[in-house]
Amino acid sequence: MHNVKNILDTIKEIILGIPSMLSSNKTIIAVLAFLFLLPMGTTAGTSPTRALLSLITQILIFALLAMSFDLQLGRSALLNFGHVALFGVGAYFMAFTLDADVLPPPFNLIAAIPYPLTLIVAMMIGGALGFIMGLTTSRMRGTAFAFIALAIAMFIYNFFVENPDISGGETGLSVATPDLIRTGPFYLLFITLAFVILAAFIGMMILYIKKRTDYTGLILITPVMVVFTCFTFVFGRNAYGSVFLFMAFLVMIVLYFMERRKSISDPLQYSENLSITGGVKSSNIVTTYILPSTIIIIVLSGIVVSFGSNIAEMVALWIEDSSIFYFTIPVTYYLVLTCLVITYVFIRRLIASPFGRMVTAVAQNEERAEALGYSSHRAKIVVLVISGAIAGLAGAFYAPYLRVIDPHSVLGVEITINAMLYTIIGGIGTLFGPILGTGVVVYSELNLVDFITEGLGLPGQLWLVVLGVMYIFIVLFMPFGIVGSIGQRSSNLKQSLRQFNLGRINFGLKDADYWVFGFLGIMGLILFLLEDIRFLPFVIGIFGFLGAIGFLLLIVFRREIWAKTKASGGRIKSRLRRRK
Amino acid sequence: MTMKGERFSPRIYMEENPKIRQILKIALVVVFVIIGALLVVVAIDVYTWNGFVVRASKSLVDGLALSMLLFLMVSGFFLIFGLCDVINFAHGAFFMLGGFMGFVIYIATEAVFLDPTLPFYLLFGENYFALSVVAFIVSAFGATAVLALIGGGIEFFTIRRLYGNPIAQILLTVGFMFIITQMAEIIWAPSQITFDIIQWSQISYFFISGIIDFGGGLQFDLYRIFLIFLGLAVAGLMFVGFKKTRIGLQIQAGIEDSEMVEALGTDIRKLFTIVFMLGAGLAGLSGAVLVPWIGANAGHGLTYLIFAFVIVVVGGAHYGRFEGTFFGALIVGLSMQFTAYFIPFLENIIVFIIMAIILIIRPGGLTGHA
Repeated sequence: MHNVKNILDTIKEIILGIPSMLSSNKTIIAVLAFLFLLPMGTTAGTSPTRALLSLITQILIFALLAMSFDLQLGRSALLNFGHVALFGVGAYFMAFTLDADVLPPPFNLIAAIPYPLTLIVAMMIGGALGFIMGLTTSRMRGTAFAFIALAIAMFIYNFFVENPDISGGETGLSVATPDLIRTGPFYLLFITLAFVILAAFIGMMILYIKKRTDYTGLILITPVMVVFTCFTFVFGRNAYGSVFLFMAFLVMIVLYFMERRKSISDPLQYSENLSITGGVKSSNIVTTYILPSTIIIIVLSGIVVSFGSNIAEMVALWIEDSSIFYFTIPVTYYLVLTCLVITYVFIRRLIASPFGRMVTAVAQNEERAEALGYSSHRAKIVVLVISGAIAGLAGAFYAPYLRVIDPHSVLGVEITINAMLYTIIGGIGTLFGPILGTGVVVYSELNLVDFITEGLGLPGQLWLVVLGVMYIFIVLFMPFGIVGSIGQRSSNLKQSLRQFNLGRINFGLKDADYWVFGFLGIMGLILFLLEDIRFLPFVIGIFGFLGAIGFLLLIVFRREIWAKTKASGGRIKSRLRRRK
Repeated sequence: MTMKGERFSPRIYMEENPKIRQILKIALVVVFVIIGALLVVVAIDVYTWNGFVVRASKSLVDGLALSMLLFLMVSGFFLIFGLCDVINFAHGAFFMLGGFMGFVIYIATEAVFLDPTLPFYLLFGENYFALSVVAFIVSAFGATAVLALIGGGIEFFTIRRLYGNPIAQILLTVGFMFIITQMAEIIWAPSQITFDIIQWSQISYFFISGIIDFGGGLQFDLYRIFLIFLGLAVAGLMFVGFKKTRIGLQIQAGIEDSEMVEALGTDIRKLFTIVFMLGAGLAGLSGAVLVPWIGANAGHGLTYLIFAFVIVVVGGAHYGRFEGTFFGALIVGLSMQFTAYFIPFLENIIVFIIMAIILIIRPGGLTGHA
């Protein structure tokens, strides 16, 4: 009895913790909601979104690899030249489990392992190899460790090259798509997950709008809702879904004004424009339970109305013929995305934990950490095991994605160099950096040739040269990677944005507001990558909206703006005078 | 200090009993000698006595030639890594570019020498042998000079801003590696370029087809023997330079402790540029002398870069000495050619096996600190 009560208490605690969890992860949830929504826009036929999904899947797989590399280089200062070995064993293990004819009889029993379990076994194999690499760290530091790891990677590479029977040799080993990825229920599982995340996203927005009851909140939430509505209008199968979303948008504005009425922005001006009536308590119930649940239900049903026929078609495709890749691409995308999110959250918690602090201490000054009683050797081994497991997982996803693998494409030295580039370009020691760096490099690798031949009119062979020049410029102007350097420089900008006042009203941006830009940014990026002409109305709409707001502000606050420009003009004039 | 209940540790036990340690050392050496002798006996049994001698001597000559070549290239990498602490990923690309530069300069020089309107024609006349040898020497020096300029320029304009940020340096040098490799591939196409394609050139008689025959299957390529002497000469020159000249002493001291050298009044920035020029120039020279043997290929960059890594680590990367690189190159080159002649399936990984063994015994390499 006591036990049951305990469990109930824990569940209650978890449920009560959801709002704060949502509020503290705004950007991640916003970006995720969009990324999970994207595959629903693909129809059962050909669609440009599917090609993009395939590209994003590749980026996400390599992002996993880069994250595991960054765990070593950025967190524990272990430069590993043999990182590809961890990736390659995962890839080859996955290839062996998907085809029973490759390995000689006693070993081909691993093909009997069911698919999701093989991912875990691949992670274990990667972790075991990481453990072997880690054993050398007690004596090896710095470069010596890097080269022992390189030696291990070279052993494995040469083993696979010398045994073409199992590795496929130069022609390569074809890898089948796992059966589970081709099943409809698995797809529906991810669709359910997508709806859960969408509900979380809407809930997050409601929590945000309830707290941010000044004008900035309204100005920021409107483009998000407009863009969301437009997205369902353009990508959905019918217009009714966007009508639902528009209604939800209106309800949200109602909620905003109801909250605004009872909020006290400045306690000193309490009694002037606030009328407390008997309705406070009832509006509490309305604003806490009724309106939010209404909004979530309307939005989710709008999404179902918009994309329901797409989902139904996909499931019908499974019943007819599941082997075609129309079906596998969105499912692989969902699977990889989910694993990436889990890894991201895991790494974030890991580096915030006491163990993560210890790893940082060991990386910064090994002798001091040892003197304080920590075992640096153990910390490095654990980091290598975790990192190896993540890299093995990435390899296990990469083999079915690539369809044909050979020793060079999954065990070549180039992959280590690439992982290093992704990490360094994004910024080492940052969580988001490796993912961003992977996106930038993989996308430019795939599209530079087109850009050079069509955009600049130069021979396409120059693409690698342009890539090299790009690296050099990145490293000269952002020596700590994209995320690292921008993070360093943007603190001033954030400061000045925080104190943006017009008249008596503060339009400043708080830290909690930046998810809006994350959401709009990822949406704009994806639509740009789709090169779809239909998204032009979006751009016009958003810019029109922003222009209208700007115009309104200009009219309302013309005096203040005039005074401000005068003041700054005077400042500039005086500065010029001083220089003379 | 031994406490009760402490686990038995062989290392502490050895330190406490030096006599047993010495006995074990001798036993280890004896075991290694016996294993080596057994291997020789097995090899003689497989290949017969005559075949064994031919293979052994050929692998010795080839191995020495390869190690001298690798030494020429890796000494530059070692200098840059040791003094400037820059892991120069572009070094393989420098080496590869040196090969192409040597080839281009050789052809241009030969054309100039053969032109009857110019005074060089009077100098050589019909003596094509001397002409090709002089042209080859000019090409080697030319490649050295061009690569030294390129290396110095890269250091002066880019790497100079990034000292103290090793991660950014990796990205920068990888960027240069991509640029140089791809430019070479665009200009000279991805296929192998050798001197064979110039049929009227006399160089092939000396460098490629020149053979010393001792009879009984003991034939050695002249060019490989020439490479051995060239490598030894450059090594000797560098050795003397590091011991006797002021700048060499400064460089050696800088590898040990660059801050102290700077504090004593040396312009370390200038030293860095000089070392970069020297390193890139040595890579150019080795690339140029590789061409008559193996040829020039845009893919050589990455292959030889990994050898450079291995040799530097074996020789002693941190605070290592110059001799370490020389012996590292010897070990790598000889072991590669010996396995190529006797145990072909180990050819690609023997280097890494040796590196792992050396690093496990001495984590700092042959001469470096751990």
